[in-house]
Amino acid sequence: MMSEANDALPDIRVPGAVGLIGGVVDGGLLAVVAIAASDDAVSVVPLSPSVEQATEWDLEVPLDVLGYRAIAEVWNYGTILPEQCREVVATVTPGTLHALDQLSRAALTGGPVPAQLAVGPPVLDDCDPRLLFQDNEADFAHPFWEPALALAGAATFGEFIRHRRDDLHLGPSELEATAGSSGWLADVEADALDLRQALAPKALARVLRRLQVGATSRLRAITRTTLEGASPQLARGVSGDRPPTGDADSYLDEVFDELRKEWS
Amino acid sequence: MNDSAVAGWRQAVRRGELPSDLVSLLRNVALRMCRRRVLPPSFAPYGQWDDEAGEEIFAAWYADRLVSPGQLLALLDRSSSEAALRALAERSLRQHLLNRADRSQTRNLFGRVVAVLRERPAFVLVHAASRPANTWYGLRPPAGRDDADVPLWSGPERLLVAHGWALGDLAIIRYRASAAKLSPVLDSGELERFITGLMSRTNTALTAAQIMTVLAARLDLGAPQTHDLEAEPIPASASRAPEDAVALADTARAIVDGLTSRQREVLRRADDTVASIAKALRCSVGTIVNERRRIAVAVSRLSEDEDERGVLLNMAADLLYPLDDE
Repeated sequence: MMSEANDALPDIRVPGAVGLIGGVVDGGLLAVVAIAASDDAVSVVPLSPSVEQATEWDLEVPLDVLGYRAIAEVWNYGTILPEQCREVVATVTPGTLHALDQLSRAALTGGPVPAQLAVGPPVLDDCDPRLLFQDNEADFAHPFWEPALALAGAATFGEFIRHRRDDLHLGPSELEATAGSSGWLADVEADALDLRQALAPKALARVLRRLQVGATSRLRAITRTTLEGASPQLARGVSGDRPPTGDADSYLDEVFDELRKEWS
Repeated sequence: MNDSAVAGWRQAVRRGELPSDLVSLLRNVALRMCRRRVLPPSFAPYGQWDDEAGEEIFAAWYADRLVSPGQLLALLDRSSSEAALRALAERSLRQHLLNRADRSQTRNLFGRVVAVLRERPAFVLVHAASRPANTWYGLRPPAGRDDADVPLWSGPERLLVAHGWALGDLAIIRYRASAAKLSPVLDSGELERFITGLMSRTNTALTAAQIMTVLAARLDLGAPQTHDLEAEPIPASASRAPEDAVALADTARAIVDGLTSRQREVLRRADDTVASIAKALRCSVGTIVNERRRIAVAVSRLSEDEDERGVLLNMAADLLYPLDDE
């Protein structure tokens, strides 16, 4: 589901870029426009062709941007990883980007809708059916935010596994079975075990697949930091007698190559 | 699935090309929908679904919805595989058929709006004009208050449309599920409720043209038609024929086919409390309430009146009960 390699990525990290992104499962694609970016995360606003459902928090996107009329759902913004981008298909004009920026700031700060923007009629009542549409759109977009959410707030690989297992309601034995071995999870979640000794690259790739994450640079960075931080005293394998094998980068190369194969 | 094929089609369409294999896929979607009878026969061009009907609706869908307004690109932009494209295309075609039928009613709708304003006691002429479309009507004021006290709407159209949305779900154009031919029904009661609500919310007098503008936005009817028509009589409902039972069953199947998996589960658990459904489906109570509203709108659209709506809802729910035994 993720793009294959960083050097093949279209650059969705440029504000105003319009890209088609994938999620963690095959739930289709989502057209988004980038509004802000860092090296490993992009804030985006989804685009929808359902212009008749526009509210005051939906900015009209001109026909010539995508080839069809669309609205930018500012209320439905989210964060993605750059690897989720399949294709950059257009760029909005500076004027549209400025309007998007104004409306996004107003939404984030709880301010009023700026005047003179091309937005839809306001929502005046909770029984407005456009709110049902928004509910649907939010449900549709959520899986696309999952890859970034899955890694949010995790400083170490152990934290990431713990949080993600909790999110997915996965029991310890269920996840250990995915790897084909047992007795390693508690120590990995406590960052008290060197992954390289606990799990072969293929086994770790299967675990990550089960946790519905792809081969992203942010996951790699977290995992690498954790591996490098593992002290020799803590670097014990499940059997207790296997020496550390290989450096962090070559281990991660194998894991991520395998993960890409599994996701392709 | 052939992800690269979809990406190739997307790029080609963006360049202004129409790959023949993409057109072929879309035609197959239309023909397959006809064979599966995913919509009631009343929506078929000649009252029955066959390959000829499939070709006809494909041509209209392709020309009216996919190509010129760019909706084909919109479908491709949301598709990660051929399977996803087929599913989205099917939904688009279903929407096209419903929307086309709705739009065929805009002329009648305007006539009905004018008739309601003229004939119903709830409304009163506030300001005459040479054309019915521009004549101002308001809610009949309480005894002792002058009709002239009602102000004329002078706000922006956008705000008037917002008031129209604020009135909630709307099923003015409905379809007789049991009819062999397309038989749209304009629900005058619902229309009066809508106009009354709009005038009440704005506390102003409105013209038929303004009301049509709001209805056009709410019902996605395109540019409102406000010809100077007299209200046209709507044919009386025919009595229910034996073959209508078959049409009703087809309609119930079409309704179930158009629901999401979560909506089907909500319908299947129709007798359960909202809280217990929410717990079973691991979502909020609000989500279940919203899903019930969506189901209600879908069923209302394809039923002539509340009786038929009840029958259809039960039939649709019955279709889902076998899942319990699996």
